[in-house]
Amino acid sequence: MERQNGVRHRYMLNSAATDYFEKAYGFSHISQPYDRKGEGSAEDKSLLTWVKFELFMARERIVGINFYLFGCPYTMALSGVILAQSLDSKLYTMGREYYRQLLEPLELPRALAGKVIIVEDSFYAAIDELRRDIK
Amino acid sequence: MTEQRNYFDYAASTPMHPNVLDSMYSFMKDERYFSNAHASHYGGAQVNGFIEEELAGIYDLLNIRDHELCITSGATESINWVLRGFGKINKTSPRRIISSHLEHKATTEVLKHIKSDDRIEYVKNHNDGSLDMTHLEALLSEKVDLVSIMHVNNELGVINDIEQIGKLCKERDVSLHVDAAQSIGKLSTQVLFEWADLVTVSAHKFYGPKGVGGLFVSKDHVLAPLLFGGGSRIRPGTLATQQVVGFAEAFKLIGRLEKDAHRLSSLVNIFKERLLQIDGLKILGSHKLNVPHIMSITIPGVHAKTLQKAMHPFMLSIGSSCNSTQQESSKVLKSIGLSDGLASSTIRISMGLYTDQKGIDDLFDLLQLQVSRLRKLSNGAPEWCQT
Repeated sequence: MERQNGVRHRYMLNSAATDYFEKAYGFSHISQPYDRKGEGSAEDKSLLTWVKFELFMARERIVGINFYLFGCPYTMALSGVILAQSLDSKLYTMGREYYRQLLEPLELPRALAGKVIIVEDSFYAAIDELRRDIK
Repeated sequence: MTEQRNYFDYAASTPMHPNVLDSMYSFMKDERYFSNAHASHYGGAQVNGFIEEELAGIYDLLNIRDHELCITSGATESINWVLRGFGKINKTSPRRIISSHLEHKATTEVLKHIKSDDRIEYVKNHNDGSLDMTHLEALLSEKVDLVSIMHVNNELGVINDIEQIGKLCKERDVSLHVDAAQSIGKLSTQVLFEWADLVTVSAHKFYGPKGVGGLFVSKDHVLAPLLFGGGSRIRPGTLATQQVVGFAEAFKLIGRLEKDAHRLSSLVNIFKERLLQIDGLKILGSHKLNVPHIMSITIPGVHAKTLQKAMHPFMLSIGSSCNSTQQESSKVLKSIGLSDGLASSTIRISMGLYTDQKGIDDLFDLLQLQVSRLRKLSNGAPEWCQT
């Protein structure tokens, strides 16, 4: 969260989150031919939030990510950071701890934990599908 | 100028007009006027005399004879005072109050608070935001103490017919309170003082300072006090004199603002035609009974909070707030039949004195771009997001 005139503002995106929000067009360039695709979505109607991830993989690396969503700016910034940070990552490095580390620079308000979980669930549903395919 | 050009939230607050700022500044730097207006020495008398003249100017401007202006901290306090203090002088019997679900939270939250002591009933409304007058008439067939209705809806811009409501109330000897926070400077005030016994106004909604407002009380009404303490007989506490000066100056703008409403009206008509080119976009409210400067639009498939952020640097308002445990949709939007999904896709655009053609054109261009971007992002979303 940002401070303005010494006041800590609730529900205001910090500069990192704003940056990811502005760049979050939902679709990455798929850098090379992919051999597997994983899809996952999660939603919570009471939070009016829906998120879907599509992950493209080649030789155990994520070579493309798309996301779709209906949700607030935090949901979008968070999905944006996943897209930007996870490209070219190896699948085996993307455990739940990896997701927690992605969240840190965004300094999301604790009150929005519900949305963090929806994004997490959709992202890991896509990862799980990729892992299932490997087995 | 850029900040003002990008500002489309005049229903929330307006910038202070230069005349208002000048009047306040002159008053504050004048060493004759720093005393407490309630003080009994000559310094207090000087300030009090100045303020009395300012208030007399308001009565003259509005051509008011039967109402007294009580200064408050704003519309919320005025409404609280009416709903909690009306009919409470030496009486403890439950009151019957009629209001609507389309009122501002300043009204609905107080009504929720007092409902255990009083009988509160709500007049039905149509999906265009207009009140069901037949239902109001039916409610008035039994004894009613007070009807409390807003003049212009702050989310939809729908105008309530105060003359019709006032006639129904007068015929049955029922008192009428009108929340005119959104109508001063946009619609003629004549109808208010002809038909309403109590009228709430707020300075910062018509280019005055924040933190000051008023309650016009007709001379045959007495309210039980809301606050207790020293100072004035009507409202305790030291009078915020510089704010009253700014408030009085804002009233002097009313004629100019009412003329400006015609300019705004033609700008808004063109804007609305362009808005309707956006696929699925719906302008809420009643097309016949709306003020031009407030409109709410629903854009299915686009999350309003995200759109609001994406519309930077334009300043727009949304009707819903969100947190981790629930999405709280605007009660007004739900009352006109919108689902949670559509309510969360609704933004409010409100315009004013400094809105110009270029600002509107730039707003539309960015809106079109961001709606297209956000719709691509919500492609494949479940039906509840869009219906």
